[in-house]
Order: sequence, then C-alpha cells, then structure tokens
Amino acid sequence: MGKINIIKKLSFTIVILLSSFLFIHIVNSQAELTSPTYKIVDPTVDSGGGRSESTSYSMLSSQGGALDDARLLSASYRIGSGFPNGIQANVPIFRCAESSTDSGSTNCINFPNANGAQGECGIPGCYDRFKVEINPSGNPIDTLYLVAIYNEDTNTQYFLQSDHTLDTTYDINDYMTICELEGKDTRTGSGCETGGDPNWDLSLQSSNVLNANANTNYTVKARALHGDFTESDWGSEAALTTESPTLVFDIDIGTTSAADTDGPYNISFGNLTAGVVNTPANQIWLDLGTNMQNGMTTYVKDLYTGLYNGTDTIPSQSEDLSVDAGSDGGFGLQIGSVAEDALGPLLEGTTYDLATNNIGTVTTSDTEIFSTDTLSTNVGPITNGRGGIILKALAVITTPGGVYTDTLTFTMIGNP
Amino acid sequence: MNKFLFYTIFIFCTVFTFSNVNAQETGAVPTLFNTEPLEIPSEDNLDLIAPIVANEQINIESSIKLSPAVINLERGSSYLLKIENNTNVTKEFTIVKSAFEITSDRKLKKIDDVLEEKLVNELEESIIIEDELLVIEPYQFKNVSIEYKQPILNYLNGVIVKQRDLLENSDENQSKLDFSGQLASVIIDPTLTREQLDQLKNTITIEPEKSFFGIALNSKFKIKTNISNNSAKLLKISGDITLYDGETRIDSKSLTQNYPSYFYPNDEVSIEFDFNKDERSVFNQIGERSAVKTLKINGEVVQISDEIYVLPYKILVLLILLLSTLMITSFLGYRYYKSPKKSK
Repeated sequence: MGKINIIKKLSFTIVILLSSFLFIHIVNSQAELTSPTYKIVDPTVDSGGGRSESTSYSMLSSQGGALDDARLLSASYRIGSGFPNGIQANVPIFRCAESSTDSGSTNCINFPNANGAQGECGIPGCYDRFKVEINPSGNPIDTLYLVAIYNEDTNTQYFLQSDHTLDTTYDINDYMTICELEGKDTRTGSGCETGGDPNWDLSLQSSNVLNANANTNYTVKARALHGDFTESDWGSEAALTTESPTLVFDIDIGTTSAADTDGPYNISFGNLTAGVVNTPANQIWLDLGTNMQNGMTTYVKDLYTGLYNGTDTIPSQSEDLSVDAGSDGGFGLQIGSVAEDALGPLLEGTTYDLATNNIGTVTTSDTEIFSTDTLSTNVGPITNGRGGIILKALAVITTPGGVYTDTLTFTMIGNP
Repeated sequence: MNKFLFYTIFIFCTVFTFSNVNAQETGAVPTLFNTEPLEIPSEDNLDLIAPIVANEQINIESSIKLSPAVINLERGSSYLLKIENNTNVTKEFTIVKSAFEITSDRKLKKIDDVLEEKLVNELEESIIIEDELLVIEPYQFKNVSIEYKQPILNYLNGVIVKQRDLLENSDENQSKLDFSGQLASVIIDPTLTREQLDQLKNTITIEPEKSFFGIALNSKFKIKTNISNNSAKLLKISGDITLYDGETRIDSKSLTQNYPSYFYPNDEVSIEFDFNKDERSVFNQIGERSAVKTLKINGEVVQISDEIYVLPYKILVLLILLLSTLMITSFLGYRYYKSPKKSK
C-alpha cells in the first residue's frame, strides 16, 4: 500500500512537472508582442523549421534566415521566409542593357528614336554611354533602385551615381526611382508618364549610363529599396559591350543620290567650251556616318588648286562663274544637297553652301565641306548622311588647250 | 499507473511536436506560400537576362568603316585599328602617320602637308604601324596594331587611312577629276605634367547665405567653382564637390555632368551649387565647414578647398542672451556690492 502510494505520488509529481513544462513551453512559443492597435503573434526569428508530414500534405518550412536551409537556395532563385523578407522590395531585373542594338534586337521600350541603341548613338552604337531599363517587378512607383556596373575588362565595380556617371562608391542619393533613372515611367502617377510631366527626360530615355569606356564589356545588376530595412538582394545580371568611336565613309558617283558605285571614282568634264560654265551631270555623293557624340568634320583638298594640264592651270577660286571676275576661268565645288536617315543633321560647309554658278575654292589645304555638331538641337552622331557635290568649271578663250585633271581628297575626322 | 505515465509522456511529446509546427506557421509564414519576395522573373523577361551580344550587322549601304576614330592612349601603349570593307570590291588601303591640330571651332583638322613634311622625323618616331599596306576583301575587316611611342609638340598624333585604289584606271585623254577618301584615327594622350596641371585655372569659394564678420550664421552656402583649360591639351575632367564638417561628410554634388566630354584649350566652365542639406541640431552645426573640390584631370587627381566657420544664429542669440544675463547679473552684483547698504 505504501509502495503504491509512493508510485502514485511519483507519477503525480512527474505529470505535474511535465504539464508545467508543457504549459511554459506553449506560453513561450506563442508569446505575443501587443500594442493598442496591433499584435505580432510569435515574433520569434530563430532559425528553425524543417519538414513536416501529415497523411495528406507535406510541408517544407523555414523560420528565420532562409539561407540556413540550403534547400531554399539555388544558383538562380532564393525563397525568402518570414520577417523581414515579407517587407523586402521585390528583386528588380533588367528589361534591357544596351549599347549597340538595332530595331531587330532591342529589348528597351523607351528609346526616343527608332532602331534601338543605334537610333540614339548612330551606327554601330554607343561607345561612351549606354541604356538600362529596369522591370519594376511589382515594386511601387516610389521604389528606389541602385544600379551596380561591373567593368569586366578592368575588374572594377562601379555604381551609377545620381548624375548618371560612374563611381566606385555610392550613398543614398544614388538610389533612384524609375523616373530619375530612366526619365520615363508609364505607370499612373509616376511624374514622368508623358512629355510635359516634370520628371519626363528625353536625354535619360536615350542613354542613362554615362562616362563608360569604349569597346568594353560590362555587366549590370540592380537592387531595390522601398523604405527602411526593405532593400532587396541584387537581381540577375545583364551584360553588354560598348562600341568604339566609328567613322563610316563612302564615295559614289552618279546623277542621283541613289547612286551606289565602287571605285575608282572620277568624273569627266568632256570638252570645256570657252565661255560656257561646264557642269557634269554626275555628282560626287559622300556617305557619311558616325556615332561620335561631338560629331565629325569632312574636309576637301585638291592636288593643284585648280585643273592642271601639266603646264597651265584653270584656277580654283570662290567666285560666280557667270561673272568670272578675273576673266581667267575657274573651277570649284558647290553642295547640291544634304540628307540623312537619322540624327545629325548633315551640315554644309560655308565655303560650298552655294547656288547657281557660284563655286567654292579647293586648295591643297583642307577646307571644311560637311560636318555635324551639337549646337542648338543638332546632335553629333549621324546615320547614313548623304551629301551631293556639284562640280563646275569654266574655260575662257585664253585658256590653253590640253587635258586638265585634278584630284580631290576627302578627309573625315571625328570630333572628340 | 504505468499506463497513465506512458500516455502522459505520449501526449506531452505529441503536443510539443505540434506546438513547434504551430510556432513556425504563426511566427514565420512558410515561405512556399509567401509569393511576394520570390525572385522569379515573369516569363517575358526570362530571355532578357541573357547577355546581349554586340550587334555585328554590316550596314547594307556600301561603305568603309574605321574604328576607333579617337582613342585615349598613354605613350608606350598600343591599340588595334579596325578597318572594315563593306563594299562589293576588294579595297587597298595605306596607313600613314599624321598630326592633327585643334581648330578654334572645337574640331580636329589634319595639319597641312607642307607642315607635315617638316615634322617627318618627329612623326617617324611617334608611332609604329604594324602594317602600312592593307588589302581587304569585300565584307571583310582587318585589325592593325598601332603603337604610340611619344607625342609631337603642340599637335595630336594619329594615323590617316587612305583608300589607294580610287586613283587607278583613269582615262588619260579626258579633262576629269579623280576622287579619293581618307579617314583619321586620332590619339589623345592623357598624360599631364605638373607644369600643365599648374596651367589650369581651378578655383572654389564658399559663400554663406548669412554671415557676421566672416562667420556663417547658418548652414546654407553657395559654393562657386570654376575651371579653365589654359593648356594646349584636350582634357578629360570629372569630379565632385563635397562639403565636410571636420571629417563628417555633409553633402556632395557631382561636377562631371556639367563638364563637356573634353575640355578644349581655353574652355572655361563656372558652376554654382547651393548646399543646404545640413539638418542636424544647431548645436551639431557649430564648427568649421570645408568645401573640397576633387577633380580627376586626365587621370590625375587634383584637390582644392575653401573653409568657413559656422555659428548658427540661434546659438549666437543664446550666447548673447547668456552674456547679457551674465553682464547684467555681474553689474547688479557689483552695484549691490558697492551699495551703501552692503558697505554697512
């Protein structure tokens, strides 16, 4: 009887102890943080979780840091768990990162011009700048993004600054909204939905990463921030290669701008009749293109400062051949037309921007005949610029006979 | 009794296990159902993550393409000059050393042939061209190594690529014109000597919004900065202005976006910034501010600064009040001390 009592007491004691322990555990595990308005149920952030099974379901759960469970992390994706993952901004990805795309290859949707990056920088693309566009991935309009840019050739990490240049450090000012980053965000209320909105910026829509190196491989990635403690992880990387500053040049001979001829290039004057201004039907057509931000200049010079027959010269001087002030004949050039497919425009050199029988001189020194610049609304790059040059020559009665020739040399130089 | 003990322990273990699961469900929602932070791009964006390859399309229009047209290169370095023949015929090219000048309207121009002949020796020693004669088949390209040895005084180095075949097959019996074209590749030497750096006019001044005998009465400043290129070189300049309180950075502004891609000789840029971001307490605002202008000029770092002492007017008023109170108290105390009542 005494033994039974002892066992009963012992069992009772054990049950009491176990019940107490169980009660304390349940109370602890369901501790709550309360305020007059809100209640956080079980604010524990310890690592834990694991696999749980029932007859119908199985569950893989993680409590605390998701990285504690290797099964929740792959090379491409991560599953975030609990606080603070629930308030983190969504990881942004790039819609595009481009420097040399055209209309067939661009993924950017906000270039102001057609034809991808080439439409902004000219053929073959941008060399000192490029364009990135971020897919907000569900983040609100006022989410801030930090863009990291890695120079694969020099192994240098840069961060996009608020002025869109690159630096190796960053601060909170370098986190930008889509409007500040790209100059356009079509979401309602963004402040840069359409032209006229305060943050609408065509220049950022054209290119928003400046001071890049030419002919260089870059990778870019971004992270998002939407309030304190909400910064996301870095998103996937996008890669691009900048172009080199490039000149595109061609000479064609023909009566119309559609001419597309291969060398050698020459135009015959036929017989020069004294007192008659000779204008060959064929013109010189120069194809001029560049992606250089400050444009290009094309010069012309000749071999003899006029037409030369081995002993005598029909001089080249700027004059009206209808008047021929020196009564010594003359030879020179006149720009017939300028055009371009995009950018530019192609500008005429003042010496040759003439009409009727007025001509500009050619000498053994270079004289500017075509250019692009950045004055006013002009831009330096130009795509498929086409300049037509008309030749004119006048012989007079005192001009000695013979076969007159000259050689014109066109020199194209980019402006740094 | 033993059964009672066994069931008790069993119930304890079961409840303990489920209480753990409960804790996970309530404290941290299992993330398989937490869709918000998932880093899964939408389907239409999946292909955008792939590296974007530079476009190699050749322009349909027949043309000759040369790159780089301009390159920053330090002496002793070399680069590859790429020449593309995007025409239907084989082209011949000659590459020659040349010198270029900067015109008054911010353009580059090849120097006259006569002058170039005088510089023939300098040109010879300035550049080494790997292959001076090139034959390029239709729609092919070639790279030529150009080594930059040393600069030519007062000019930019570079090469001219001449099309050779254009002058052939001319009819010798007719008055006519032949045409040829040539393209330039210009080298910009970024190296700056100390003398050239000293030639730059580079200033910064910090002007307080309100001041009293040279002391700023608040933390609002106008910082004026100027730089002009008094050298004969093309300069690539980037930089910023940072405002410091001792070692603590208060604010900074980038200058780079306000500068041209190159400073040509005699280029001058003046910029004014308003700095008014110091939102610390007035007590923390007391002290010396320094505006530091850091420029990277062709790779060389140049720093200049200007300083001013800040004593917020609220503190000044407080000091005046304290001082006034002290003076009045002292005066009253003195009068009391000197009064006849006291002397008794």
